[in-house]
Amino acid sequence: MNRRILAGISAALPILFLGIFLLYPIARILALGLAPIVGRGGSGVMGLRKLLADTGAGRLLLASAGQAFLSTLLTLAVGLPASYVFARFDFPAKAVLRALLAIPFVLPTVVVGSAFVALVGSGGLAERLAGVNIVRTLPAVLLAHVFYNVSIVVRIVGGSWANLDPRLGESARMLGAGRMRSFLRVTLRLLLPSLAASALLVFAFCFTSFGVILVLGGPRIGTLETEIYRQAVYALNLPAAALLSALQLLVAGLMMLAYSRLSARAAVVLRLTPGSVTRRTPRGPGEWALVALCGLGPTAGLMLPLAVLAAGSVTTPTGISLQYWTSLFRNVRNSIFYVSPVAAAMNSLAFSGLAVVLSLTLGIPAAYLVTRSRKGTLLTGAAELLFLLPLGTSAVTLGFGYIISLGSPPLDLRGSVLLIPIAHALVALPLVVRSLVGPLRSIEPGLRESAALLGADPARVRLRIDLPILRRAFLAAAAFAFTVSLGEFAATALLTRPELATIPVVIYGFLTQPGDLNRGQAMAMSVVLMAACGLGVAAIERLRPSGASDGASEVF
Amino acid sequence: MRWGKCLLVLVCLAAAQGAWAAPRILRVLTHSSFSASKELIEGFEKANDVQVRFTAGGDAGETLNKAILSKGNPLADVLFGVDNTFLSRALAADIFEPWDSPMLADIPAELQMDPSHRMLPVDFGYVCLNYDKAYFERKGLPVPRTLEELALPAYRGLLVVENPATSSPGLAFLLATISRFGEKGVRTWESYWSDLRKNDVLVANGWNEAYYDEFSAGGRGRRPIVVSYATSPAAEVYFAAEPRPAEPPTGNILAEGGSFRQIEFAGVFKGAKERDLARRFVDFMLSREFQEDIPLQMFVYPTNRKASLPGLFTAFAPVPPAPASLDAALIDAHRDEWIARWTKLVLR
Amino acid sequence: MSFLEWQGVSKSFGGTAALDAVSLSLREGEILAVLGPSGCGKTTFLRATAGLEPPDAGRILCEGKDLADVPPHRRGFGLMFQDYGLFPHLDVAANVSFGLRMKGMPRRQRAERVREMLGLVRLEGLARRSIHELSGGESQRVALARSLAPSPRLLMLDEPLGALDATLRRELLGELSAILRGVGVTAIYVTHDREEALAVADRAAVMRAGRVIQTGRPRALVERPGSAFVASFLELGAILEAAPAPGGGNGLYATDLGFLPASAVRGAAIHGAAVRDPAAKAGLLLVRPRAVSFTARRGSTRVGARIVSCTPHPMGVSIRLALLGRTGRTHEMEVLWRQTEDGGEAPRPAAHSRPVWLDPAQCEMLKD
Repeated sequence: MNRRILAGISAALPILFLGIFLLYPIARILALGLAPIVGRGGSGVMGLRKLLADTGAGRLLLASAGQAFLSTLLTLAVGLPASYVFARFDFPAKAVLRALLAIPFVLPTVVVGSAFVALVGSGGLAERLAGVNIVRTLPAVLLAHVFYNVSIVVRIVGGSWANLDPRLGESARMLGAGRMRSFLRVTLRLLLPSLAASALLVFAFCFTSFGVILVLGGPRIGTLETEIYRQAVYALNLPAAALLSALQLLVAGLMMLAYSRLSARAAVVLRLTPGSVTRRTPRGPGEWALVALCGLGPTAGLMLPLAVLAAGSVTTPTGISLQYWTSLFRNVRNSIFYVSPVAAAMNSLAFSGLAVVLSLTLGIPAAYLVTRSRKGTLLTGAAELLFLLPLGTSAVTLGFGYIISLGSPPLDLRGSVLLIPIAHALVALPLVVRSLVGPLRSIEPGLRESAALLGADPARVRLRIDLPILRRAFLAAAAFAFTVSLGEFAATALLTRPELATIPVVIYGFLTQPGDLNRGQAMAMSVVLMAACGLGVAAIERLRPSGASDGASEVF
Repeated sequence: MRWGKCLLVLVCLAAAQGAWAAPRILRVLTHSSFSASKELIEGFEKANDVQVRFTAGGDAGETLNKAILSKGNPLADVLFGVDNTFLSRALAADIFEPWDSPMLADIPAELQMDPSHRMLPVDFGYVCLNYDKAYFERKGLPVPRTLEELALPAYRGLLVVENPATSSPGLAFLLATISRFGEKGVRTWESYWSDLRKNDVLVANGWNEAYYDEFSAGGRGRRPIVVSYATSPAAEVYFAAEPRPAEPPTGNILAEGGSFRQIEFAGVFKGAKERDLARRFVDFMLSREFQEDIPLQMFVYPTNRKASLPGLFTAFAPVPPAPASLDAALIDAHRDEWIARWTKLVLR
Repeated sequence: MSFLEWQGVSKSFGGTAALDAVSLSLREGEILAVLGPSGCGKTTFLRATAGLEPPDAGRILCEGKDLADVPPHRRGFGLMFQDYGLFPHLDVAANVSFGLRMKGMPRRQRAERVREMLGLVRLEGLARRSIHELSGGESQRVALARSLAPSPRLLMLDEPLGALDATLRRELLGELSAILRGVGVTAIYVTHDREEALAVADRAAVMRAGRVIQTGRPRALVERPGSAFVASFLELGAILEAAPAPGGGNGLYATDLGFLPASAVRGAAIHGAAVRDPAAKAGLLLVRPRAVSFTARRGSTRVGARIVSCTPHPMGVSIRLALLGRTGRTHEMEVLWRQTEDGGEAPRPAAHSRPVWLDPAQCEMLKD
C-alpha cells in the first residue's frame, strides 16, 4: 500500500512541477494577451483572424517550420554517419571527441554568431578563400543549427546504435539481403525510435530558435519566435505576442503528439548488446578513412568556431597576448556588479547542478510514467506530450508568464534566483525523459517478469534489473541536462541578480560596450564556458561504469 | 534548570538582536547595462542602513514591459532604465508615483520630459554615426558630414545600420531621419531610406552584430560607417587592449540632425514597499557623486549640470550639436507604423 | 568432387592469426563439425565461409567456383548465430519468411513454406507470436526454421545449443540432428562440446590456434586421437607424462601413477616403434575411461584414486575420478560405472583414497 502511494506521488511530482512552472504561467499570459480580443468587448474569432493576418502569422509559421525542418534534415545527415562511427568503432581520443561534440550546445548565440561571421561572414575565412559570405542568409542559420544540435543526434542515435547487435544485420545479409536492404530493413528499422526522438528534439530546438535566427539570419529572416520577442518586448503588443505564442505552442504540440503516437508503435524491445560485441577498432585504411570522415570530420568542423573563439581570446591588434585573460580578474570599471570568472563559473556550475538534480529527480518518475504500459494509454500519451511541451515554449513568453503568475505567496518567486534552475530544469526535463524512455522501453519484459517470478517485489525488480541498464542512461541524461542548463536559455527572460551572474550573462555584459578589451574578454569567458562544459561532461562520463560485465552496455 | 533558563534568555536576546539588526532591503530594478561603482553603492547602503538589491530585467524595453505587467504588485521599489522612446508608455501605464526630488533643480529643464515628475532623468546619450578613421585615411576619402551625403555614390556600400524593429539604436537612428526629413517635401524620410537602400546599406539585427561583426574598426568587418553611440570612440580607448592608443580609432560623424538623444529615466514604483528609501535612492542617483560616476560606468552623460565629465569624455566624446528629437507622444503613436513602413521599404 | 573446399585460408586480426592456412573439404549433404576451444578460430572460419570476413589469403571454392567475389547475400548460405539473431521487430512468421521475401517469393508460397518450416521444427501455431515471448528452446527452433526456409546450399550453425541449459541441450540435440539429416542439408556445425559433435556430425575437424589439426570421422577421432591436444580437448581421459623406465628393456614406462608395462601399451604401435622396443621415446600417455576398473583385474596396475563426484547417468553413474600421482598431483578423468560390468555397489564420493585398476591395454601413447 505504502509503495503504491509513493509511486503515485512520485509520478505526480513532475506533472505538478510542469503544471506550476509551465502550464499555469503560459495559460495566464496567453489569457491576458488574448482577453482583449476574445473576451468581453472584443471581436472574438474575427479579431483573432485579423490579428493573425496582421502579424503575418502564416508566413512566420512557414518560415519557422521550414527552417526547422531543413535544419533537422541536415543535422541528421551529418549526425547519422557520426553516430555510426562512434557506435561501432573504438579509436583513440574517442571520449574526448564525444565531450567536444557536446560543447557547442552551451555557447551563447552572440559569440557563436561572432565566430561564424569570422568564418563565413564579412571578411571571414570563407570570404577570403573562396569569396563566400553567407551571413544573414538561410544557409548560415542552417549551419549554425547543425553546429548546435548534431550532438543530440550522436548522443541518442549513437547510444542506440551502440547497443545494436551487428549480427542482426549480418543475419539479414545471410538471408539474402544486400548491404543496403539489410541496413534499411533491419538496422534503420531498429534505430527508428531513437532517430525519431532525436529528430523531434532537434526540430523543437530549431523551431523555437531565437538567437541564431536573430544573429545569423539577419533582418530578412523572421520566425514566430523572433516575432514574439519583438511584439512582446519592443512593442508590448501582448495580444499579438500571445497569439503567436499560442500558435507556436499549438504547432509544436501537434508535432509532439504525432511523434509520441508513432514512437510507441515503433518501439522495439531490444536486447542490449555489450560493447565488446558491437564495437571494435577500425581495420584497414578504408575503415580508418570512414572514421576520419564521418567521425573526426564533423567534430573538426564543430571545432572551427570554437577555435575561432579561443584564438580571439588571445589576439590583440598588436599581437598575441594574455591580457584579456588577466583582465578577467580585474574589475576594470570598479563596478559593483563585477563577477570574477571563477565566481561566474561557480555560479554557472551551481545553477546547473541544481537544474540537473531537479530534472533528474523529476525526470525519472516521469520516464517511468510514460513507459508504464506497453501499448500506450491516454494517460501515458498525455504525459508524454506534457513532458515534451517545454521545448515548444517561447522563453520570452514564459518569462512574462512568470512575472504575472508568480508574484504572490505562496509562489512569490518572480525575483527569486530559484527560478533560474527551475527554468533550466524545465527545458532539460524533456531531454532527460527522452534519454530514459528509450532504454526503459527496450528492457525485455521477460527480464522483469523472471525476476518477479523469482520472488522479487516490483521495487526490488526495478532496482536489480533496471538499475544497471539504466545507470548509463541516467548518466547520459545527466550530461544532457548539464549542457542544456549551462547554456543561455532564459538568460534574460528571467529577472536576474547581477551579482549571481552565470557565464553567459557575463559574456553578454561584456558586449554592451565597444572596445577590444570587452570583446577579448567575452571570447575568453566563452573559452571558460567551453572548459566548464567539457569538464562537466567528462566528469559525468567518468562515473560511467567501465566494461560490460552486467550484460548491458553503453547508452550514450 | 537554571542553565536551561539562561539559554532561553540568551536565545531570545540573540533573536531580538538579530531582528533589530536585520537591514532593510531596497529593491532596484534596472536594465542589464546598468553599472555603478562599488564604493558608491556601499556608501549609500551604509549611510541609510539599507541593503540595496539589484535585479536586472533584460534590455530597456523588456524591463519596462515586465514592470508594466506586474502593475499593482511591483517587482521592486525603484526602476531605472526607461528611455524617452518608451516614456509615453511608461507614463500611460501609471506604475510610478510622483517624486519632486530637490535634485531636479540641478537638471536642465529640457531633459525633464515628464512634468508630473514620475519619471526623473538620470542620464542621456546620443545615438549617432561612428566612422573608422583608418579606413578613410587609407582610401583618401573625405568623411561624410551630413546625412544626405551618406546617400552619395562615393559612400556606396559603406554604411551599416541596425534594424529599428529589434534594436534601440536602430530605432533611434530611424527617428532621427524622420525628424530631419519629415514626411512631406521633396525628400521625405522614406525617399532617403530608398536612396540608402540603393546605396547598398547593410542592416543588422542588433548593435552587437553591426558593431562587432560588420564595422571595420570593431572587428573584422568591411564597413567603415556604423550607427552607434557618441561615446563609443571614448569607450574604444577606455576598453582598448594594451598598449592603449592615445586616440580612438573611431570618430563621431556629428551630422546635423544625424544624432538622436536618448534620455534614461528612473522612477519610484507605485506601491513600493520602501517608499522613503526609494525616494532617497532616486535623489542619490541624481546627486553629483553618482552622476560623476555614470560616464565611465555606463558610457552616457550625466543629467546633473553640476557633474563634471571625465577627461576621456571631454576629449573624445563631444556632445553632438543639434541632435534630433521627437515628441515622446508622437513616437509612441507612430512607432509601429514607421517601423512597418521602413521594413517594407528597406528589407522587402 | 567436394561441394565446398577451403584452400589455405588465412585471416589475421591486428597481428594475430585467427585462421592459419586452413585447408578442408566438404561433400554435399555432409555435416561437418568444427571443434575447438574458444579463440581457436572456429567462428572466424564460419564468418569467412559466410563471406562476412574476407580471407587475407587462400580461396574458398563452392562447387568449384571461387567465392571471393560473391557477397554474403548471394552465396545461398545460411548462418545461425549463437544468440539466434531473431529480428525483434518481426513476429515468428515474419522472421521465418524473411529469407523468402528477399528471394522474391510470392506471398502465398511464402506462407506455405513458413507453415512447412514451423511444422518441421514442431512450432505449429506460433506463427503470430512475438519473439520476446519465446522460450530459449523455441527461439532456437525459430532460428533454425528461418535459416532453412530459403533452402540454403550450406547451413552454418555457430554453437546453436550454446545458449541453452544442459537438459534442454541434450533434448534438442537429438531433434536437431534428426532435422538436419532429414532435410539433407550440407552443414557446418561449430561447437566446443564433443558430445554434440559426436552426435550430429559425419566428419569432425579439430581446430587450435587457427589451424586444423585433425579431421576425420568422429569415431576415428575418439579412437585414434592424433595428438595430446585432441585427446585432451575431447576429454578422452587422463593424460600423463611417461618416460621409458630407467634401466629399460623390460618395456616399462615410468609415469606419475607408477610403472606401466610398455608391452601392453597399445599406442606405441602408432608411432611405428615396436612394442618391445627398449628405445621407445618419452611422451604423453592417455588413460582412457575404459581402462579403469573398480575391482581388481589380472594384468591391471593398481593405482590410488579419489572419487570427487558422482552424477547419475542414463547408463549408470558418471564418476569424476582423481587419480593420485606419486608426486602428489592428481589427474582427473570422467569414468562411467556400469552396474552390469563392475557389479556390486556404485562407488561413492569420499575423502579417502581407494584403489582402482588400470588396464594397460587401454592406455596409449600420444603424439604431441
